[in-house]
Amino acid sequence: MAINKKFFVEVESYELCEKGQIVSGDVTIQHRGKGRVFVILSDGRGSGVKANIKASVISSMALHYTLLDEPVERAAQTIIHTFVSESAESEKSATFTILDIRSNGVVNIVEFGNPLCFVIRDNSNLKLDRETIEVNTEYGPKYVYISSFEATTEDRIILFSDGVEASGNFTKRLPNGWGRDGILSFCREEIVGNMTISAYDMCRKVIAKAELNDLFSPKNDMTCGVVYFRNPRKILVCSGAPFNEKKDEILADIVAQYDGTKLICGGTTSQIISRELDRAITVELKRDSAGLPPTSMMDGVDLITEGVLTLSRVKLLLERNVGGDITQTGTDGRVARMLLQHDVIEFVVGTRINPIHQDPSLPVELELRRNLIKDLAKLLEKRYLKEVKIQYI
Amino acid sequence: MSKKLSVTICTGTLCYVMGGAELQVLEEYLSPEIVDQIEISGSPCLDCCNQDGAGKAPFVKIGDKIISEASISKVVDAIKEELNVE
Repeated sequence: MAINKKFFVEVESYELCEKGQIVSGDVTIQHRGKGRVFVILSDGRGSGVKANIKASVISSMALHYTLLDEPVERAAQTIIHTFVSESAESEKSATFTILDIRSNGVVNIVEFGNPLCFVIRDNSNLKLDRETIEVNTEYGPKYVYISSFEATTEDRIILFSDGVEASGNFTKRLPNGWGRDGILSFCREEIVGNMTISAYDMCRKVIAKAELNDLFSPKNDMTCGVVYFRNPRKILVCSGAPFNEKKDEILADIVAQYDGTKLICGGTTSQIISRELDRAITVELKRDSAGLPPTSMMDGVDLITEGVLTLSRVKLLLERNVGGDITQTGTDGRVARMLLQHDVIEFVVGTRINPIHQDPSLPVELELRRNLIKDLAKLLEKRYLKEVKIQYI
Repeated sequence: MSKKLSVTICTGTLCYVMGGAELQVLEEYLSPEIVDQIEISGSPCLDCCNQDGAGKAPFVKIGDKIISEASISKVVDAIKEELNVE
């Protein structure tokens, strides 16, 4: 999943349904593979289940055509022929935006029907040369815009559905809606306020503002997707004592040299590192709301927790979490949030087994560390789209 | 005042699941006079569970003495014995 050593591509989206609906007619999907990142935003027009199904089909078609490297014209033609009807707003009855981000930083953008996206570089709008492609349909020609640019670190792409653009329409404050310029200047202000604002926060802020524009009862589904090219945030997770005691030194060295956040999960592991680096550990003896063993602190390490129990609870939490934010205040929630805030997660797993832990009378949560971390890594990689490395020691 | 008696509770995985979790509230079971004379701290792992003949988890270290299969009452008694108080 390493997109590029130069930067990490953070993709996040957030959506709100029209008031009274339970599903959104806007669908955003992202897919990573072959060293590329694909982001599709589709609006099924209207809202509710029917629109959602339509948008899901469109986005899936758009993704698969792009994955197969089919010419854009062909993909657009098929989608338009299938979904665009003769209705008054035929232009808009099926819309899509496709971003195809390649490992060398080249971004190809295909847009049909959706509001055109922004590329923000150095806090100003990067002008894209959009080429117009005419697709002939039985209802007359339709126009698809294609463009391409080379992304550099700190670039952002902002995608949004028409619900965002039109938010605030007919209100006293914004009689003509928020509009493109309104959205652009809002994003720029946010970036001035926080130069490294994550895609995650950015899309939520845009939608929160759009909701406010509509006086908290959205008149249309609103979706905002943000792509942020940034330096990867790295975290080191050490768990388990090295198989060979001679490697203790190497483990400690990895921790001392690491450039990024450091997390140690394991009592013995932390003792080894404390001994090798000659840094004291202080245990915070207080009750954890998740009922897990207490955390500890050491100079130069961000957090120390107990090992297998904590990690299996973290895994459980990440497994059960569907799309929402992790709000648990216990150690498991804290570790899970820490992992999700990073792009690159590097596990260093000690494979020495504590034979006492294999006693059959102990609780089953005492899984084998290696299996546990393998599952956790897979989950982070597949569902949370993190770049995960595992090193056994 | 003489040096305080150190009481170290192991919070390692094994000790924790074997009952060490309840030892964290140890202080509440001690009278203020005793609390004044001791210093309760935690350890990520006392590394006792791997040693043969050390007994069973959970472990608590009082001064230089290791208490195995520690429970609140056992630890309280051991502290009192160590401090020579009733």
